[in-house]
Amino acid sequence: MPDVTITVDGRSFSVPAGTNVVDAARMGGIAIPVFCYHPRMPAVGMCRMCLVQVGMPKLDPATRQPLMDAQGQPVIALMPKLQTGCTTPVSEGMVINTKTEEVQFAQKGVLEFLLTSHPLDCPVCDKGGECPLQNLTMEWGPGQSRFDYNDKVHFEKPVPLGDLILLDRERCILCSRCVRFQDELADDSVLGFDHRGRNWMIVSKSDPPFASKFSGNTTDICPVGALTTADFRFKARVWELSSKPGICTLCPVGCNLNFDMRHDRLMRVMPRENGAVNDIWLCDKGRFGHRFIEHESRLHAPLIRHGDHFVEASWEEALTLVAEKLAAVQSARGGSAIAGLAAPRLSNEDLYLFQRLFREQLGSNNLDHHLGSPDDGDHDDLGGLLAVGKGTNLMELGAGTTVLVFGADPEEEAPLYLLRLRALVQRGAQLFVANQRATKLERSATQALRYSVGGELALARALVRELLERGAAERIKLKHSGLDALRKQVLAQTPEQLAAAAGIAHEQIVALATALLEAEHGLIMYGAEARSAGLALIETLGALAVLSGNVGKPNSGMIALLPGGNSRGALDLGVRPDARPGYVLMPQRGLPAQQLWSAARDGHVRALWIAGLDPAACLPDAREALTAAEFVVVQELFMSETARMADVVLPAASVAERDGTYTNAERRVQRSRAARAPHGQSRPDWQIFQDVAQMLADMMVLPHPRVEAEGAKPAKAAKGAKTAKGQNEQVVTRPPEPPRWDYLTPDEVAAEIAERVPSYGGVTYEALAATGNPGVWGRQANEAVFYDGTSYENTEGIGIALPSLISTGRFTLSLSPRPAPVVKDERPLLLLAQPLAYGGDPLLRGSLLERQLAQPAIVISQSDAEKLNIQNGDRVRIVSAVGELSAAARVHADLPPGLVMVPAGLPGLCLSRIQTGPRTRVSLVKVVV
Amino acid sequence: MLLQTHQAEIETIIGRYPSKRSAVLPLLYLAQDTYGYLSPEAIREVAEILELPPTQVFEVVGFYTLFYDRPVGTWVIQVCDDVPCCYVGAEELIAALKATLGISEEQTTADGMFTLQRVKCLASCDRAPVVQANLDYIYDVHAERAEELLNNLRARAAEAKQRGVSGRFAEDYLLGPQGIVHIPRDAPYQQERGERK
Ligand code: SF4
Ligand code: SF4
Ligand code: FES
Ligand code: FES
Repeated sequence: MPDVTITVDGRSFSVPAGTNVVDAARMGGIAIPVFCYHPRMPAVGMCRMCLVQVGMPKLDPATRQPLMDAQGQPVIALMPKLQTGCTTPVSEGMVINTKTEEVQFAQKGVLEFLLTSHPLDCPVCDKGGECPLQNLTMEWGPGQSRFDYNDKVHFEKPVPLGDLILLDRERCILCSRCVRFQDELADDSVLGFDHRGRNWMIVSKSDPPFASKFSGNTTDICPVGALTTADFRFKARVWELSSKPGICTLCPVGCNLNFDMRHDRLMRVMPRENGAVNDIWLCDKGRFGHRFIEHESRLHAPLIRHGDHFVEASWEEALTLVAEKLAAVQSARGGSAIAGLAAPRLSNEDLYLFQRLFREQLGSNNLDHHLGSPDDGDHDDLGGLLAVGKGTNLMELGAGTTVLVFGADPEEEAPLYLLRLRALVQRGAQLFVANQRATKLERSATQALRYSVGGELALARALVRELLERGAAERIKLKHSGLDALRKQVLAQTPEQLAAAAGIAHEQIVALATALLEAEHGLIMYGAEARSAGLALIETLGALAVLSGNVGKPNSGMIALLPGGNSRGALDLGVRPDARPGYVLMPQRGLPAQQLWSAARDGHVRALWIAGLDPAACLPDAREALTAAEFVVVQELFMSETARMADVVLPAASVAERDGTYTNAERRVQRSRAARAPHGQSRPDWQIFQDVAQMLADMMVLPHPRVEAEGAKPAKAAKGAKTAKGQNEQVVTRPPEPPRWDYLTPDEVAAEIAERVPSYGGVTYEALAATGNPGVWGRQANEAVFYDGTSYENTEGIGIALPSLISTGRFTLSLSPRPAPVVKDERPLLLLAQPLAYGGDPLLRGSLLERQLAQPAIVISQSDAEKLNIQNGDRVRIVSAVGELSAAARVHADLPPGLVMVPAGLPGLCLSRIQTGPRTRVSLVKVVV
Repeated sequence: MLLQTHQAEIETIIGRYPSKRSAVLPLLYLAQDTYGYLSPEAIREVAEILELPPTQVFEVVGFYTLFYDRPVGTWVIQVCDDVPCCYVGAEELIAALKATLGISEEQTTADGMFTLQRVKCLASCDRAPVVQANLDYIYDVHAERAEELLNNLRARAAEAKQRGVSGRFAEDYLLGPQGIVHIPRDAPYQQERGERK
């Protein structure tokens, strides 16, 4: 937009045309107080706090030119009344006065009026100390009230608006920020105004009340203490808190947050502004779901099994035992008899050292971050290879951007993306949502494409076909192979055949292909549902990204929603059986988690190290394997089902108790800092791995890399790696330097990663801290006007976006297509494990969200229900080729026939018992009682 | 339930608007007339029919005083107590109604026949004092004839029940020398005047 010059309180400066007066003045460093206006939402002009005097240059009616006075200055015509700055856009030559007597009189009046019905209970109000009403009254309000204290209205308080948020009606100034946030930003219209006048009040009538995954944000933007969280209420005064910058590891968004600590206790979790990641928001899972850190059931000391019970031990004892046992298995049976699983929520430093410990010290490639459940699926390389490019910033995207969300439910898998994608649409981006069932995001889509059950691959191929037809292949700039095979495959079917198989109209396919092709920036986001369709689909989506020219540049590429907060880190850093850090494929692969359980059961794998995963909770195979194994180490926060079966249990420090970096879905590496001392004797995971590695290095003869002369190229340092099958030892060369196990701090580990893992080059703690750029997102002198204490400036770094792997030029993209997975099962229904934010995540323990955990249910479509005469609540059973499962039925009008949905991860409803793979076919029967 | 009992009517109402949500007021009136008042369940029913978030429909009900979110009598008597009506005896009328009915404002008689409310100017000051009974306008009601008014209404209870409390089918009446007189919609204004005492 062109700039216009305005004069505020006598100072002239330029601002973009169309800016409102409040924001414009702020750009010039002049504060206009506001209550109802919030820079993330359209102005409504409800509170009148922002009244200012506005004048416009007077025009000569004949010439339409500004009239000049005797001094040659334009004559200014003041508007007859004060204007609300938030709803007035600036225009050329506008004169704004914010400090005249008239304005001050109005400001005092508005504040005095607001305070007539205000209880003035600041001394017991959670907002006290960071309250815009307090601050604005100090700055702009009357010193005294003329209102008789005894005439104040009183209401019953607090009124719970839901489980999490409480309303104090007396404090509410009816600015509607909360209502608008829910309606406009979160798309959960669950708040509203009831009654009128003095009785006006905020209500929530959804079922359950205030049903939104973003409710906590309303307490941040509420300019008074009317909305408080049940989580923080009366816990602390805000000035006692010290804010420790952290990263949320509960999903792949990686929101920036602050752990607000009083001494060593977590009082609350608050968002930390990061325009590229979470803006100024947090989802409720991130805000309320970190109570696990202080849960009383945290493990506090190492435990060693004695018969059928555990005995507390010193670290020295426990670690020595671990090292000895592993060394024994190693020397007796080789590295291939040892396997390790690490949770995809551990930090990059942990993950990197974990794979080093296994590869270099134990000589094992049996590494994974998956659970080993039948629906694990393949490792997602494409989300790294074709990741969004360096410099990506969702905040900058709007018109000219096309986003395709394919087979994903962002609200459940990565909640904050819902807010970000909606904001993108509001700024003019086109959003296409392709799914086989209804998701909340679909409501915000420019166009929704509901493909038929199992029709996703046809849809993706139809899109690729359309792009190929339009000659998109000629424009590919990347190193690639297999184009002809791809062409042959998609051309084998006509557009009509593909459209029919996908269940999507051909015109819609053309529209989406066009939007992707013409987009300046194109993003393809995919989630659990897409991944369950297998690599054939994901790779076709990759081809789509490449053919439409949306890879290898900023703000374009693929975003994979993977489980946990750091799956991408685990993939990048080689916690997988087939590749080293940096996606360097290994000639000899280890066992993936999925093959681990049978290998352990059959005695091929004798020792297991499981860090942060709980396979025993739901996998009968894993239980069997753990029983059969000779030695099991579990490194955990809690006494999980798996820990119960361990020989040694090691207490790990939580995310808030150690420094570390995490790589989010967009491959942005972000640093989280220790907020408190580790619980009990727990230690950071990386330290535990290092301690054991050190002992192994000291005690073990093996694995001295066996140098076998023949043909060994002195290239890669594959130290002592053995093959999965443990037979033929791999040919290795002597490492260039002895493995080092003397890191003092995680930043030394990060420095090594930066040095050795190509795409992590430069990502040191120093560099991460340097990206803290207060000038971009931080507060201004008058910031109280906007957020006031409830969202924090980011002085701790906004993270470093890694370049997508393809743009490094070291990889060649294979476009050659895979055949569609063949399903032989004749059962009529497709089972969908529904990923849920409030599913069975053990980290939610101790939080208020526990009450909102999903209930076990088998969700079926209306028409299937009618066919089988099933009512809501009836007990039903689903039967697959390998097992059966029963629960109460929930009939869902929006589910397509042919699909059965079961909440994933619920402890009481183990899907893995009936799953035959990422996709399972089942039949459904009503249980007659 | 509403959808089952009034399906055709609901479809006609919804059919009048380009988008479903626009039908919220008429459907709320329909629900109010069917159930006698708008219970939370009734409001949710309307929300469901119109595919609106329930909170939004509750907001509408809370905003308008003519939606009753608690049970009311067969007749809701609303007496204007604004200045012109007051000058010609509104307060006396209210006092008389309260005495006769044995209730105060915002209450309902034990037999469920009457609810009494005060309201502001009904925009018929020229025929003050003005009473609204289920939105039927009744002009020229003075305290001494309170009982007569109540008797007349009581006698027409069946009619009121049939028409509902919403006033969707409200008419104009005059408390003339001969008792309550219905004023037809198309009656010329002057003529009514002539009838006044
Ligand atoms: S609760 Fe807070 S945000 Fe909501 S209307 Fe009241 S003052 Fe505004
Ligand atoms: S969106 Fe994800 S990363 Fe962000 S707060 Fe929620 S759970 Fe944490
Ligand atoms: S009216 Fe402008 S901030 Fe409220
Ligand atoms: S004052 Fe009673 S109708 Fe106007």
